[in-house]
Amino acid sequence: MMQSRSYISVKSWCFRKAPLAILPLLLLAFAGVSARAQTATDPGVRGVSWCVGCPNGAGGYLSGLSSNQQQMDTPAANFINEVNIVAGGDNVKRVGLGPGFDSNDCQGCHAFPAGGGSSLLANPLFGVYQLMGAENVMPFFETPNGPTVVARFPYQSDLTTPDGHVHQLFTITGRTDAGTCDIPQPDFNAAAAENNLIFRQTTPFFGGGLVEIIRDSDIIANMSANLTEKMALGISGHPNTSGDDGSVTRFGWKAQKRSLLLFAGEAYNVEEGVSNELFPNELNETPGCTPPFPLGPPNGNGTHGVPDDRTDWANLPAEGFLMPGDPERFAIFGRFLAPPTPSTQMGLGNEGCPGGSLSSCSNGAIQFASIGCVLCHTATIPGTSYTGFTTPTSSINALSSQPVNLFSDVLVHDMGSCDADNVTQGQASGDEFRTAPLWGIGQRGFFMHDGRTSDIVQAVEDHYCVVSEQYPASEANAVVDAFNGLANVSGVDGTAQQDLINFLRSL
Amino acid sequence: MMEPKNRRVRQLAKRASRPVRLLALGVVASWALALTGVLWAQLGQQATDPGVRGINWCTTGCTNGAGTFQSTLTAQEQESEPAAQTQFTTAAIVSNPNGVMDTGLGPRFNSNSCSSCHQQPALGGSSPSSNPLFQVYQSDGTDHFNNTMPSFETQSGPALVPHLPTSSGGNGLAQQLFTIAGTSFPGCTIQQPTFSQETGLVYRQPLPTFGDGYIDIVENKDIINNLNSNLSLKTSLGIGGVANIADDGSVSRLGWKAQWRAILPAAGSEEQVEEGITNEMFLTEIDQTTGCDVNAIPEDATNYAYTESSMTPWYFLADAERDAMFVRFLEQPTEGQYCPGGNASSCSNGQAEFQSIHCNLCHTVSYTTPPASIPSQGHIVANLYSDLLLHHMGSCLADNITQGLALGDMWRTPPLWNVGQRIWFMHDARTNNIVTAIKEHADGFQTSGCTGVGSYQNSEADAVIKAFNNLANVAGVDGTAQQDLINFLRSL
Repeated sequence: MMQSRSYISVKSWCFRKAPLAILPLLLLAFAGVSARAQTATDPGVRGVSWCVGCPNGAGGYLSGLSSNQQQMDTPAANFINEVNIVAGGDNVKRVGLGPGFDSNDCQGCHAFPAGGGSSLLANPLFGVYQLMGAENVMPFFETPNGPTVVARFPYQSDLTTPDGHVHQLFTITGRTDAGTCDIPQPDFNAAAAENNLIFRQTTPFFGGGLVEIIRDSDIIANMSANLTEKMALGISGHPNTSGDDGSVTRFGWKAQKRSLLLFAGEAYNVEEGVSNELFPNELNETPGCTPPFPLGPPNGNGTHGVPDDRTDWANLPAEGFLMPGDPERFAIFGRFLAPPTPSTQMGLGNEGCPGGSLSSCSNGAIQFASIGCVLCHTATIPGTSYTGFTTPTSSINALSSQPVNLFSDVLVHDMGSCDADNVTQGQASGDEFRTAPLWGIGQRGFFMHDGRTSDIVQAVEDHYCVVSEQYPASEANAVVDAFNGLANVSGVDGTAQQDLINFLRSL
Repeated sequence: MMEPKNRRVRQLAKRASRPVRLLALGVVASWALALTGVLWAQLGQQATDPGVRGINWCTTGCTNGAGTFQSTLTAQEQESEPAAQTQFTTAAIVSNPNGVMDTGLGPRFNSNSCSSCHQQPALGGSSPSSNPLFQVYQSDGTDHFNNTMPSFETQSGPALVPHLPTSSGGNGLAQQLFTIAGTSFPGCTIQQPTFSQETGLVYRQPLPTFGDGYIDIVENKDIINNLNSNLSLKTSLGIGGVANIADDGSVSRLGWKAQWRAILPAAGSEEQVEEGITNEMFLTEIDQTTGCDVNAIPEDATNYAYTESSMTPWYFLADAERDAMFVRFLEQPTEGQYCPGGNASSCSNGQAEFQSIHCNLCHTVSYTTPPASIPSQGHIVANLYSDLLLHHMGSCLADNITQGLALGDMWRTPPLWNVGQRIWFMHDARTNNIVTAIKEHADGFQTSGCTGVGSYQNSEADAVIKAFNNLANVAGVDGTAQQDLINFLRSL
């Protein structure tokens, strides 16, 4: 339920933001549109609700890869589609599913608008959960047209001791390749009844290779930039850090992972139940549910035992790509994925902006900066002084000295009790989340960590939360107030707020 | 000549129920006493440490039983051994314009190769008798550095890595000892930490890696079942224990605080922290001062050029992967053939005493690995002498550093396999005397003074160490039962 709030007056907003408001007013004069106090509407998913048939600008590889690296492209793309089974088949690299799992391949949850993306608009788990005779029932929170979400229990059964880990949705019980394994699904209804159930949707990893090499010092410098402005708006933020080398961790909803490789290792074991060289054991070790399984290839390396997936010593490959384990191959794929391209930069003309005018998106970008979104959603915004990250020199030339316009400071921020999931990961406490990168957001179907809404306007509003007994107020409150104020400011597409929304949907 | 240890007697003692075992112990002890003619006058004397197997005793005709690869690896797996061992032993240099292999040392570092700190008594082991850091701190063989040696590193001491806990104003992470600043890299002017001005530094010595491939895959449920076994007895002795937990919810198990889940992430972390080599798990330099970031990052990466080169396929994998491969294939260390003191019965009795005073409640004798996808690693009885759990060890051992669920006074039960060949003991290598090391487990028995930090509950080992002390008054094969226990440990 939305929190009550007091909007800042248009008058006070104008006094504070008068210089920044000049540009939209000029644009208005050009457009001849009169301002109206109407909340913006979400134009919907780019490529689905508008700009249908436009190239999606996502899922391609980086330009500038060497010929050797380009040789990885095809096997990497094929690999991301590999469906894992429990045992059997003729490919030992595609076994190891379960005993517990959320899905059976990477692409199932990272597919929209292309491989490596976010959750599909139609929940792919409905095509997975009873495959090959599996006896699973679909948890109540998964819906056919909803996002793919995974479940975590913030607390253990005593409802006091922290848990926070993923509890896999399904089991292999009943599958024809799962032998005699007989284990139940978690009791999600009971967890929900105890208010001990939270959700997270999948995050896209386009441009992940760029994100993982941003220098820590640049992230810290950005945190320390524009401090006066941030303090005035109640924005702070801090990095999540690695307990190993102290570096800034940056992947995942709470920035809990340092790199694509470490992220992939956990994802394989948690999401697919494929134990690997980073996480070598099954998460459920009930007898009969762990390898070997009877249908395993007699001389393969997939179902003899743990880890399910590992370096392939058995078949020295002609291609190096086939040698490492799945997490390494996933990391290669993610590392080479190009960042998504905004529709305004694809030569589509006015069709590249939802309102039918590139000026609306241009003005939206200015508004994005002027009301302070950019203070957390770090990016280079043309026409403003705000600049995003640039990668350092990389041992992969295609990643060297590249702009990383991810629209995130990669820091974690207090978002208040309304968003809190009561899960602590590293230095990210129960109400803290990494600033979600917005590149590619125009092509996302669901928003917020739990996929609670498919309306991007609502998602912006959901950044607002007043102080509670347990958590401080959201750091975004003042910015959301300013966002609401934009509904009263004329813009190219009616209001400045609509322009901002159009801009976001063009990303 | 020493008599080979009587394994039959030890196995019987191990398998026997407690009453039968105690009876057997009495028989063995009496028999041994009569045989060796030890005088009761020796009772009450504290045991002495016979020293390092292979250095202080058993110096000729003994095999060290460590550092070999698993003997039943497949032909293909064996083919990877040279590449893996080369990786583990090759000294990294700061920069190499002709290639990317084994480059990337620094800007800050502790040493320049894995084998530098992991070589006693063989590759993969613990710190050698002569501190290897004195060989690397001012040069990596190619470049010259301005470093001075911190006072806590000594020529004949172990390689130590300092940490400054948050309670002392630090961040708890490893403080890298050295920098690449020097004549070879004049643009890099970063300074070493001013260790002499830091108070509250704590230290950690290198852990041996033998048998880690088995520890990697011990089932979580076996660790938890072991945690929940003998609960009444544990409770009566003040022993608890808790598992450190990894991101996927599994039991984390490697490192002094069981902070690493597996060999591979440990290798990535060590490559970055100990050598300063950025890699595909930890991609950016820890110190990003301009002028010191002399290489593109990550310095260690997948070698995509493999398909065009004539190199062996193992070089497609990044260095950290091959380091992990080396460790994964290392066989568990085997016990020595002989017993200090020259009487195998002493070690048999010592092993029985080890169990009778309940050292084994934490130093769990063995786990059996599950079926493994590397066939040679499945169904192996790993005699690691550790429960892989964390225990409160009291204020005198505390370092005030939290890692995961491991609090400032908690440590993983260190595996004792191969402890006979270790030179230094405890996380900070505070002693090279194994008798002292045992006493250091308990509050109030420290012979070197209480050097820990913070205020914590009593050590979970207190009652067991009291029992250990009492063994000095119990007749044994080599004088006292306490001496027998020490002899047993040094035979490992």
